[in-house]
Amino acid sequence: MKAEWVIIIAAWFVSFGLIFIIPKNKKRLAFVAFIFTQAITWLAGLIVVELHLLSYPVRSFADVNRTSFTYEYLAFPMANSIFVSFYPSFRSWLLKFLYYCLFATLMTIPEIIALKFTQLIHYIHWTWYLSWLSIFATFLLTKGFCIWFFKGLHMEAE
Amino acid sequence: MALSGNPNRKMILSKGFDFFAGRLSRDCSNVDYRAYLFFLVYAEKPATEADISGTNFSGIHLVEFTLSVHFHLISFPVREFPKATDILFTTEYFLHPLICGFYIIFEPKKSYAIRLLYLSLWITGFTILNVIIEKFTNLIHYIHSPWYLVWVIFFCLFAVTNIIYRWFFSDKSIFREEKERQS
Repeated sequence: MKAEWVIIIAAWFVSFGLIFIIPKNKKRLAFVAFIFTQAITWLAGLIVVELHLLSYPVRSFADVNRTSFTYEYLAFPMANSIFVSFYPSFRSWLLKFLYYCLFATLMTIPEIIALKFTQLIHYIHWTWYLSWLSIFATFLLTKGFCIWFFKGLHMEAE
Repeated sequence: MALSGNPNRKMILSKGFDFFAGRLSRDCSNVDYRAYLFFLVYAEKPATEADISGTNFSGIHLVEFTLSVHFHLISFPVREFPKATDILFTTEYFLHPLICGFYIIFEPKKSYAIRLLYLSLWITGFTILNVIIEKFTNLIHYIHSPWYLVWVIFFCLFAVTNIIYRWFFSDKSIFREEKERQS
């Protein structure tokens, strides 16, 4: 039980620490990515818990929310901010695809470790590749949203 | 104290006032990382004039209502995801952001006092709506939360949203650079 809380608190510190990695000229982009990821994970997280696909035995605000607050509203949005901030815009499509795969894998590996060794997450009707695909889709959606959002702003600014 | 003689302090204070009064100019647009941290804590997506409903999602409402339910201030007996969460999803995800978006779009570009009055009127209407819902339905139930506390909470939420909105759109030339970098 104690190790789980150490991980949760460490996730908070690491997530806030990662703010300082984001380049200063990308702060608005990262902000939009952060908020949009929250919008996705909020809905998706509630649906998977409601349908008994996943459960989070150890979590913050346990009596109010049965989803993982730390992961869905802080850690994953922060990872997505980093993702869009360092996106290789001027490289080939293969490198972009590998970049997506790298980030999806980087997000899935800690989840599998947490699944095996801690009580932070428990799969009921879920598998690791569903996690990987949903994370990949979230990255894709957020990147698409950022492009669309800033394109609209660009047209408005003129 | 020596603080009063510090010329930087006066500058910081005046900048801070400009910031909260919404008088953001070009020189004030380089908000530093401490401010950025603040925005992430009070994470709320600002609305654009072009599209409001699809883009204005609010984490801050979620955090606030999680805390409210946690401390038994508010409860939501009838809700969409009864097993997954104790919070009413529709209002937090769609209604509050939408109303906040309309508030920001129709805000008059007048003095600070008029805008404060405008916000107060808006919040009063919104609180009346909430109290009506509370009285006649089981969607919301206030346990230890009188109507004026609801008013104050919504006032703070809307004001913070407006501040973030003004920060986000304080320098429109930035978006051009970001667009070029992205494509």
